[in-house]
Amino acid sequence: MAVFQSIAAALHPMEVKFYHALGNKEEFSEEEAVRFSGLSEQQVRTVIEWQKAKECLSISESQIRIRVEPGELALRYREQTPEERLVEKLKGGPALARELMQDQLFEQAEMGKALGKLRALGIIVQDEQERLVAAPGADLSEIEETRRLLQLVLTKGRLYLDEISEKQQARVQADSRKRGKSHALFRLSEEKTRHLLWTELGRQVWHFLQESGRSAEEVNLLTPEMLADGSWKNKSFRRYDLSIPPPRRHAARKHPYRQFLDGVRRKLLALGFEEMRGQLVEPEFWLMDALFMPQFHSARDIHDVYQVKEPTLCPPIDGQVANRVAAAHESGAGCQSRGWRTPFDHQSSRRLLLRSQGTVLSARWLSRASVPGKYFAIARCFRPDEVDATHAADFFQCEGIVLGQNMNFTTLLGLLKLFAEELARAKEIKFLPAYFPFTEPSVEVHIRHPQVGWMELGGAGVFRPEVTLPQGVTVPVIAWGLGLDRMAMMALGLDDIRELFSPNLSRVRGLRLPTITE
Amino acid sequence: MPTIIVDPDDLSRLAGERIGPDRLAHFLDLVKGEFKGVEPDGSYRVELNDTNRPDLWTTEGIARQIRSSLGSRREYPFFGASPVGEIIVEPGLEKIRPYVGAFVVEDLQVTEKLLVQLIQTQEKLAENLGRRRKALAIGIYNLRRIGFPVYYRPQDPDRHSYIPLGFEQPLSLRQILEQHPKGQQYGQILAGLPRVPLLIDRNGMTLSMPPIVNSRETGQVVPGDSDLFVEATGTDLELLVLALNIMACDFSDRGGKVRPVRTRFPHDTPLGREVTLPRRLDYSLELKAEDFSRLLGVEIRPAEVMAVLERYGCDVTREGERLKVFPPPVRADYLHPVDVIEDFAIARGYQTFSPRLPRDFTVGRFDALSLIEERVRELMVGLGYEELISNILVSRQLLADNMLQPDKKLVEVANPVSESHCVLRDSLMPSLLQAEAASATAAYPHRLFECGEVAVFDGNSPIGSQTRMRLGMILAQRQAGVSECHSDVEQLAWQMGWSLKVQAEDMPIFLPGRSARLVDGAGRPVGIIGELHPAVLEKWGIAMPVAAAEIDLTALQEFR
Repeated sequence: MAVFQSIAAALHPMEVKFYHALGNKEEFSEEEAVRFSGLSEQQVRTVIEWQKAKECLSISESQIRIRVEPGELALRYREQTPEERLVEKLKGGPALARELMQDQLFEQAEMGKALGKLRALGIIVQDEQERLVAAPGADLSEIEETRRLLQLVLTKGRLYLDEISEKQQARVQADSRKRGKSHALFRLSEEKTRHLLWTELGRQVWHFLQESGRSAEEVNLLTPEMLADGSWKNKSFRRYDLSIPPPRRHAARKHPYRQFLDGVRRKLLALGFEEMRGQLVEPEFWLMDALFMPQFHSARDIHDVYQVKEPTLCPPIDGQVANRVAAAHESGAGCQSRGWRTPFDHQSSRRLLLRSQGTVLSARWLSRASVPGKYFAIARCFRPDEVDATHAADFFQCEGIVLGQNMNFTTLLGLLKLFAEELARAKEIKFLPAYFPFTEPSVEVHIRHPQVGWMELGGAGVFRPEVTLPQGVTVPVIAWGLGLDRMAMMALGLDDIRELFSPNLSRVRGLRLPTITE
Repeated sequence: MPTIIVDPDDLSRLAGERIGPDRLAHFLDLVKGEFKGVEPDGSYRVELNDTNRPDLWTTEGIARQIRSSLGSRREYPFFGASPVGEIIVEPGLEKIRPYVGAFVVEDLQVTEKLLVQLIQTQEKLAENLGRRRKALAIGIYNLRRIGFPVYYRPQDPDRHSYIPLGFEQPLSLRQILEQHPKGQQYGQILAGLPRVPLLIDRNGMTLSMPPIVNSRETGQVVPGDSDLFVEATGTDLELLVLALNIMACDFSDRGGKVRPVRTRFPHDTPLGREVTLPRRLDYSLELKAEDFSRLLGVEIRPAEVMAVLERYGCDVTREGERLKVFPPPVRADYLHPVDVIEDFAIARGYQTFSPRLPRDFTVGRFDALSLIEERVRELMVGLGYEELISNILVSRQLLADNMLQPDKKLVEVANPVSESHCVLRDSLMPSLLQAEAASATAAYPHRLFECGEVAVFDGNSPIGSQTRMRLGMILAQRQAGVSECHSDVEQLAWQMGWSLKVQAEDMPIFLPGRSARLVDGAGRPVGIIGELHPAVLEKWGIAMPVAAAEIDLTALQEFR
């Protein structure tokens, strides 16, 4: 496409109007452009700038014109000039000069000046008793002309000296001072007028416009009214340049991190897991004792769990389950175990802690679980770590259990392999020995990530009998946990865990959605 | 989890084979170890994940496991040998620090490197296994400076003194507790006691004030020494036996000749009044091969069990189907037959088990509250609200001060790491206002929501709080008003089938006359709605009008 064609194709409706009004003129002024195009002054200026930039218009030398604008007195005399006032007053009959000069609207000096002028014009004369009277049959055209000019300037706001008759020009000249003098009816100033010339390119555009029949009557928007009255048929619609980037919008959406978590939940649902839910605050009994964590275990240390300030303890935990848990710890009684062989501290069992691991939900669910049964929870957990790129103030753990007569180490590996394939799309998997106080055997599953290399996906194991038997569960129970944060960060392309919980809306809006995996 | 430093040459020497970095990875699986990096001097940093296996927290222990799996298990003849010396425990320590035990090791070549390992072992055992020396502490001395019998006695801290390690002058026991760095670090263990434990030999030479610090004269081991006296004191005899067994085996692996020491107690102990250490741990576990098959999911034969477990360091005897497993003397962590089965699986190699999918059919199900939450979130997005997710553990400032309720009862943490994260949020509104305050440069309007858990302080609850699921929403823009927010809540309620009513009520955080309590059909409170008071917005540093609502989804579910 030739340059003029592409320019013509992308013309704004204002530009098209401009061409239609002025395309045939060799040379024109801004003021003429306004007059002929029907565009506002501002629009004309914009179009001129655009056309200049597109090298369709050039600007010729400036020409000086005298501009006429209302002077200070024009506004003051908007309703009536002192001259008109005098004529009006004398309609009521002869009056003494002294009386005439006393006026509510005008000052004495103004009235005096006007009186002198009217007398000079012979409009006012003196009678025999030295009173002033309107001269009968006097020519008032002088006053009327002034009024007409004044109205013209007041209405238009401005006009140019070269637009009015020579006689009028003389009158304006007489009733004005040059710029700076305020006490005059008119103010005159010089204005440089730009004269505009079409360039060769501009002329080509105009010819092309005429040939292609693009009308100035283009419209931007199709309206319901046009559809209702069928007027759209006579309209031509402006072509839009869709290559121009539009203003950015923001979709209301679920948070990408939650979308990732939702994906995991849906996947677990599809694999036949039922959801568990619990409390943010738990007694140490359920968080640790029920999971057969030795009461002297370092993970119980004040540096590893958050303790609640008030209340610090829950009421004593009684009942068969509590007794069986205590026995499992002390002597392993009822579980064919040696136990931890230290006295069970019922007091520390009652300590209230913030949920430090999602496994507490599995512990609480054991006694009410179905066999066979599969359960999961995505639970917020808390540990006293310094917050940094890899530690958030709180974080999600994805945990669960599988109960069944035929559950064993091999099916545990099968389940982990399924998770690795279904949740992480892993192709390479390896199993490593691991240690968790509540499972035996225990295993860690590692997957090979295309970018990061080998990484831990989660840990799992078969619940120890010291965990299941006190809850009255006699079938093997697989317990598993997945590290979601790392997976989420990779899915969302983040390298700082704090970004997952960012309060900054710009950041949240900037997060990309997790990849869709079927 | 203990992290130790392992010199690769030392490890190879002890293991009897060259262990390069490539083979190390394989062997670390065997000991649940994790390679953490290389030290400037070329040593490896290794983390041991099994908190019940103190025998692995030393280079010797890792090497022992490797050697065993390579088929060259070493025997330790000093178990059951006759004692070469005696410790006499005097009455009065039963309630203070009742147990002591010891052995001697001779013909050892103490070098700089050995000293480093020795101190590491001593520290890991006393810190991790001994709960920071409270349950167990270990002292090592130059045997040549000590004459048997050694006495373990309660001592008035003001009436005895010795020169502690690192000092030039004698200090009284009390002064040591107050002035010596170790006294300051561990003195708490003996705080307030009228008598403290003291180890002193036949000639009146002080060995140490356990578990604080050795004497400089007897208890300073230097390169070139060859004969050592190793003692342990504590409150748990079983731990003490285990720790001394581990150290004895470690010394023996390094070529030292270990000889037992007998301790005579004036009081009963679980092992009697005369205890000679090191000694075998007198326990065993009985299993059948089918126990292995059932837990592991593959057919396992008794012969395989015996062969594999022996390579892992256990002794196994067989009577028909019944297998009796005797753990090595450095392991007290077999509590249940499942522990034996795991070790069998580890020694056999996890890679030898083929994963098999569980076959049981189960129905997947979301929690009822999750279903409500999911639907609410769907609708909120439909209403044009962007979802946020925030921390639950936040600052008091956020929940109380900024919401004009400085004295509000909250679920507070007793041991916070920082003030920014010390209380559980009891409302979602502060999280959303925090987001608004942080997002003044993000294009408006801001329609934000979060669905999530909060913990509301509740004196009547056994755990002092209730975990509730909430929906919080805010609307921030030039003309944000409660009416628009109300429209959204109404629409949400209609879609959800809630019969929500609005009861005008002034609340401090909202502009008077522009807030209300949301109640269900029976008039029970389920939420609030209002236009934030400029004074609150000022506190948050928010320069845009904000309307907000919060609805308790748990309540709506309970009331249904």
